[in-house]
Amino acid sequence: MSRAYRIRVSESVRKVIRAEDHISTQLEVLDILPADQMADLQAEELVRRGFTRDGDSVARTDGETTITVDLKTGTVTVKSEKDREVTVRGEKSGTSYDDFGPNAKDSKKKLAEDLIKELEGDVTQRQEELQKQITDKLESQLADLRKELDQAVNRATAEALKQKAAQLGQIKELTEDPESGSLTIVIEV
Amino acid sequence: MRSVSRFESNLLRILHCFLGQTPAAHVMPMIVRPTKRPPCLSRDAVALVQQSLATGTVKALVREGAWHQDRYLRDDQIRVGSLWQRTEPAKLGLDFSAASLDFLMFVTAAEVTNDSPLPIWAPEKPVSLTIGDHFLVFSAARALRHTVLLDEWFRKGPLQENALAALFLPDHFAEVKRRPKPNFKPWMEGTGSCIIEAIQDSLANAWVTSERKKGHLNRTDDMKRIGKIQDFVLTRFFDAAEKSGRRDLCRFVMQALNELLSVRSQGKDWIRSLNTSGLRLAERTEIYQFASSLIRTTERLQSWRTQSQGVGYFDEGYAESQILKSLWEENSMDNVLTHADRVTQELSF
Repeated sequence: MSRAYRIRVSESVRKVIRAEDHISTQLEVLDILPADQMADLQAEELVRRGFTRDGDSVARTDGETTITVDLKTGTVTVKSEKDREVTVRGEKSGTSYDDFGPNAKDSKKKLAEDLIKELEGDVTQRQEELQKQITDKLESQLADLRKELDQAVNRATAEALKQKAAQLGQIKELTEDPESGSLTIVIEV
Repeated sequence: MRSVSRFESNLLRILHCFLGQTPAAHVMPMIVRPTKRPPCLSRDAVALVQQSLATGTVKALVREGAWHQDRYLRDDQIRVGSLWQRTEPAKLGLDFSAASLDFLMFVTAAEVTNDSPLPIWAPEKPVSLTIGDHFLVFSAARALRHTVLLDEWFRKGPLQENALAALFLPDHFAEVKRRPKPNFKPWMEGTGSCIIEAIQDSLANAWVTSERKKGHLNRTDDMKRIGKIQDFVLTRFFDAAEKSGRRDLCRFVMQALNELLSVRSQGKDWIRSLNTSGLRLAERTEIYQFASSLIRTTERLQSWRTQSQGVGYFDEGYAESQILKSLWEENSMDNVLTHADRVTQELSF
């Protein structure tokens, strides 16, 4: 009489999962002064806000997020990435018609393969969760970042206007309203 | 009095459908039902085909808009009037080769069933199609655009290299695996350019319809495919127009943008039904870029306008620059640009 033997396997899968997301946008910088001077003003303003200059770009890292601004093209790239090592373990039971021998070995092997597939599915799910986390976080940061960059551009533009005005003539009056962002310059030509 | 066989009668009715004189529904039974193809057509039938092509293409183009009093370039000069006033009628003749007859005979004889693959037209010998041949095949595509025949012809058949079809029906090219390479150069000169001039309104309407359909797309893959092919077709068309000094032929793009973009337009109109759940921001940005493929042509149009403002009376391309400036005003492109900027902002992060 044949009997079915209960077999059990346990496996673990260890992987480094990685999630990354990024967007790019463009700063709208007016050509009030020549491009290289505008780039320098932009860089100064961003350095004041915690960016570090490296040649033709400035960058700042906030935790998992890195913001890079290409001063020549005005391209802003915001990138968020995170790695995490995950270990998933599991056990699986099955049956075999032999308790030893090649058939038992094959049954265990198949059971182990099935278990590994399931565990890898878990890893994939964790990767998707991590990805969603990164994407949601990046999206939540964008509004504030846009505001900050707009302010930086406005300040750089104001500075450029002052320099341009000084080139055109003598500045008689300069009024700046930080709340509204308006700038009034009276020059004598 | 001319007499024709049943096959030839069907062929003529199908031709009339392609030329816009009969609805497609009336001739579809003739197209799907197989008919034995004769070795050749009778003299009477050929004469009737010639007559139908001669009068039918004229009527079709007049109906499209050849009668409009428009301004277009002729030999670096601005000409005003209807198509036959801008170009002498003697120079408006279209040549149709034996390929046109072969195509018509193929369409009439072909068997279309659910059980077997759709037949594809392929001329026996490699042949260079004339502008007239291309126009006939394009007219067939337009007439049959709501049928499954068209999708198959785009995938494998005569429409793959038909530049007019690519310009008018880019969405259908989106399904094609092997990306077609429409050659717009022949459509920038001679009778080819006259046809493009005549169908400007239809082209504008086709692009408006295509853009509005984007709001109903649910799958991001579909948006990507359509946006990519639109980008591809428009870039090639713009390149050909710029190289040939015929940027006036891009009028339909400005017309389409003027109709699509208004103070009420919003970015979400283009992506209203799109399912972007689970997509990374980077992927969403890419999809939104494809959604705005037509809107982003405003960048190039604006650069043309800026360029044209610097062209003096004695400079080369003065007439073209004048037409571009007047098209800009006619289509309120300053307002269009403002709305385009706003909509693209809404479609970005």
